[in-house]
This record gives sequence, structure tokens and C-alpha cells, in this order.
Amino acid sequence: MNFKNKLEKNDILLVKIGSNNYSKAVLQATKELSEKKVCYITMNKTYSSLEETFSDKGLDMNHIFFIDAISGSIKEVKQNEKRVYFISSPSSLTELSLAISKFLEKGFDYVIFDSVNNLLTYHNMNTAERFLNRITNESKENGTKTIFFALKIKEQEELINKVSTFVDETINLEERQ
Amino acid sequence: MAEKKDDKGKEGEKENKEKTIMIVDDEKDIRETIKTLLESEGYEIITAEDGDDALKKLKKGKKIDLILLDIMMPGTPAKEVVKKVKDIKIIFVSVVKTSESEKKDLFKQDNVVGYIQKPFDTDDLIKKVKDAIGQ
Repeated sequence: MNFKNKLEKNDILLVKIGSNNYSKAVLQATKELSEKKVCYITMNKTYSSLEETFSDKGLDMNHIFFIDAISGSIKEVKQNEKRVYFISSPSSLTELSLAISKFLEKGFDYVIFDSVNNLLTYHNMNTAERFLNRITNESKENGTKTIFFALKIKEQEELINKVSTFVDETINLEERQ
Repeated sequence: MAEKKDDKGKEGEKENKEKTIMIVDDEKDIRETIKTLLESEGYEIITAEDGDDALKKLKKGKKIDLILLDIMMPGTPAKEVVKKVKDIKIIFVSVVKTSESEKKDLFKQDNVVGYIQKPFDTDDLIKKVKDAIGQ
């Protein structure tokens, strides 16, 4: 599976993965796309942990910028890092939407959204769906290619199925590998 | 031999019955799983579905020996709950991935005694609880 190739043919992808391969796939996608400007939206890992992992795996971080919706909930954060914007909490969708809009306006080649499932901890399905649909539209308007990652969880299938209706292609990774 | 072990187990359960643990997690499945697990070890369990619920229940004044606190929940963030609870031991339970330096920071407050990454191993969870508040 080559994410970069897939994004040459599609603007918006939804990638569904089982928990065993999840981290590996997200890392692979980030690595493949990191030659160009990437906006990585994290809803389940702190920027610091991503920086740690990416450095360990030898990823070139020069083109990767982060919107971190997690760190603000677990520690005091200062907005003085060049490559990351901290959201106060993953429940603050307005704040997150504004940050994404600002990032997209700056001209990113790719957005990686990690992950669809985490939205359901803080929001109901309709709100999560509307939010993701909005990101999809904004990405298209700005010419930014987007990957939504989703962990295959039976209880959350309904949202994942709804998201699959507004993306260009849904990839069920384990079935394809 | 088996009889002796059973007796020892029962004694342990009896001792643990005097210890109360509060489980704070917004996911009902997780709350109930941990509750069942720790009740079988003889601990008395109180559950709370988020930080606000936990703080409300703590105000009731029942002696709590340990709090298992989900690090990411809707409502009052865990970091704010921790600031308000300085005299009860806390173990963080986290689905969120943090860096090593962030983990160290979480332990800065004296009563934070542990960190469990989800998905967790049940034996590891029991061991960490026992290490924190005794058998």
C-alpha cells in the first residue's frame, strides 16, 4: 500500500485499519508524504510523543507541522513552538476548526487526521460527521490532499461508514494487505 | 496446598476490603472491567464517569485510598482534577500516547504514583494497584 500513489489519484482518503497495524500505517503514510508540506492533526498522541517516535524512525520533520488537540488537556502548553499549534482540548471543535482553516490557508500539500474515532469520545456522531465533512470541503477548496485514519471499532462503524460517503476512496487496509 | 492458597487469597481479599479505589473513566466498558477485576481482588470500588463526577463524589468525604484516573475525558481535564486532589494516591490510565518526558512531568505531583497505558494487561494493573496501596 502506497499512500502517496493513492493520493495522486484521489483528494480525500479514508483508511480503516485494525489496531495491530494502526501505528505502523500512520507512520508509513507520514514518512511517504513528508517530502512535501504535511499538516498532522493529532487527536490521540501528544506532539512530544510524535516527535519522539518520528525522530526514532528517522523521519525528516522539516516539512511536518502539527495541530495537537491532546497536550493541552494533560499539561500546561505554551504556543511558542514553530511547528505545532496546541488546541486547549479535543472537545473544542470550534478552536480546532479555526486552527485547521488557518493551516490550510497557508498552503499544505497534505493533511493527516489521526483519528476519526477519537472525536466520538467528546462529540456525538452528528457533530463529528459535520466536522469531518467540513474539513473535507475545506481541504478540497485549498487543494490539500487529506487522509483520515480510522481504527476499525465495531461500535463506531456508523460514523466511519458516514465518513466513507464523502471521501473519494475508502481503503480497508487489512483486507488489502 | 491449594487450600492454603485459597486461605491466603481470602485473607488478602479481607484486607483489601478496607481499601477503596475510585475508577474515573468516561468509557463504561473500561470502568466496569476494572471494577470487576479489582472487586475480585477484594477492593471496594467507587466509579465516576468523568472528572466532574469524581470531584463531586470525593466531596462526599468517603475515604478513598487510590484513584485510577483516565487522562483524557470530556469535562474537567485530568490535569485539573489532579490539582484538586493532593492527598489521595493517583494512577493515570491513558489511551493517549505521551512522550517519556511528559510521563516524568505527570509524576511531579507527589501523590501521582503510576501510569498505565491502555490497552492494559490485567496482571500489570493489579500489580500497580497493589504496589500503590498494598495487598
